[in-house]
Amino acid sequence: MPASDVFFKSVSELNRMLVNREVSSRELTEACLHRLETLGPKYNAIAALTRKSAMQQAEKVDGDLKRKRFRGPLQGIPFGAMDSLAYPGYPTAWGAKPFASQSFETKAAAIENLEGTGAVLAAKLAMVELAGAGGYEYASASISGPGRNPWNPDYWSGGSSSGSAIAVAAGLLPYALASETRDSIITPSAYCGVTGLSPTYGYVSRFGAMPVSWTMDKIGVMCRSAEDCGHILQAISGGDNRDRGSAGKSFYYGPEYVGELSRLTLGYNPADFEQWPELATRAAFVTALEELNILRLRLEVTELPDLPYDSVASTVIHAEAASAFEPFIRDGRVDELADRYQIAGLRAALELKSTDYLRAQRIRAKMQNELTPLFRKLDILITPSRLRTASPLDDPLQPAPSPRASAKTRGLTDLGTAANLLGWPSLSIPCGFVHGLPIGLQLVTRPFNENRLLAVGAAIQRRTDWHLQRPPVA
Amino acid sequence: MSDIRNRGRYSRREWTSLASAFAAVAPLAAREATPAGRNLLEERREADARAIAALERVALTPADEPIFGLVVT
Repeated sequence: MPASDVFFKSVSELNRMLVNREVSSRELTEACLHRLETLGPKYNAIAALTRKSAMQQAEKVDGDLKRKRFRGPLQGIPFGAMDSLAYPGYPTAWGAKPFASQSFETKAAAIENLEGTGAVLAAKLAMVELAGAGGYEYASASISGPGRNPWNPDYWSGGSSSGSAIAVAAGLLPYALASETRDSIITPSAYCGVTGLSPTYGYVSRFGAMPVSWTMDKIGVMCRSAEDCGHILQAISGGDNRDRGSAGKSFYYGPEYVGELSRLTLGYNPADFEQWPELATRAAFVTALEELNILRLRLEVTELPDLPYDSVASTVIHAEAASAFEPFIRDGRVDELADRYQIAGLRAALELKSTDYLRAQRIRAKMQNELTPLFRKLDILITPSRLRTASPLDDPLQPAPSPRASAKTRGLTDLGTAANLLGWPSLSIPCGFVHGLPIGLQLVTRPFNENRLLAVGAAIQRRTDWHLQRPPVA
Repeated sequence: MSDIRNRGRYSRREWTSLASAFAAVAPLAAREATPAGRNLLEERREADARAIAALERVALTPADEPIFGLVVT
């Protein structure tokens, strides 16, 4: 049995152990499955364990390793996948009771790509029902129950990729696939203190993934570090003609090609760190910002143009989700969802007019024209991932968990929504703790420039140890 | 248990996991029953209307084309 430290090792460290035969894939997989079984339910992290197929894959990989058939840094390492991703032979419930008995013969492309490198799927992980397509009011909006934060189980994990964030934070798995339509990777990554990457729209095939918004959905990953995110994005990216949104491009992880970080200019706004966040978190965010100065990254004050980001995003997501789930809403199965706010949201979304949806999409194009020039003089935009720590488990999440702070400038507070609307890649890295709960920084850059994000994220993580902290998990 | 016909498709372990998930969610869902005097459907319609009003404040010309399938730039 590997020592307990093994559960918090990076992908590169685990790969070294496997190649040096210090541990076998079978031992590692069995250890992770045991941990998932014993600790997963405590945090409502698990949708289904894939024990049988995992052990078969692990044995196959051990055979390859014995014959020195090396297939890259993920070979033999267990991972988890959000339950929005199809995997034959196991239920894919999309976190929702009405789909509890659903299963697919097809395999999600992202999982297929990982298995092709010798990675081992150990579990389908819990999620907010239908990824919160219609909006949701309570953390308990899931067939698995509310995602409990490993740093304090009385607090929410964040969603919609709740189980993925919990599994990585609690050391149940080294990394997990997740999906982002609007903040579904960034929020739980920040709340649980893990590193989350939402890649450029189209970089990773969504074949086999539950749709929420065809024009906004992305498959990404949650890991222990920016470096791990790079290895996994390289494995899961690539063109796929089964996904109409596929960009037909592959990512090659090479942070060394970014060059001197001191030549990069980061756009930020002091109001995002000093005025917009909840009062208790401001000092920690300012401290995190000071780390960037120590790295000698150039900082330049900027702000987003005044556009209705939230209204565009909600209109696009609700209209597309209502279309994707129209039969389910009309035949009344929607009423079996756990969250009444989401039920009402999906029903109301069916009444949206085509002209309203088109207006939102027209403003989105205008937004693309107005925001893209920001990257002429700036390389990365940076802001807090969330303006607060995770909320108590029973607190309503909508319409606002607490009175919102205000500031004289809008700064970059809508950066996450803007990035999702424009398909820009986004990285959340842990940047401190407030009252024992993690907070995160969000870095955003131009499309297909993930290496730039990962290089800066890795540089910050070489200087700090926020991402190495472990929650008090038994 | 929602659908007995599907029992044969999954292992006992997987069904046990699903059954405990239902059991965990049921009381929570019950607790979140709509409070008296609150019309959630109307609330959501009003929220959508507010979003659309915000969209209508953005000046557009006929030349402003929509995004059909996002092409990132």
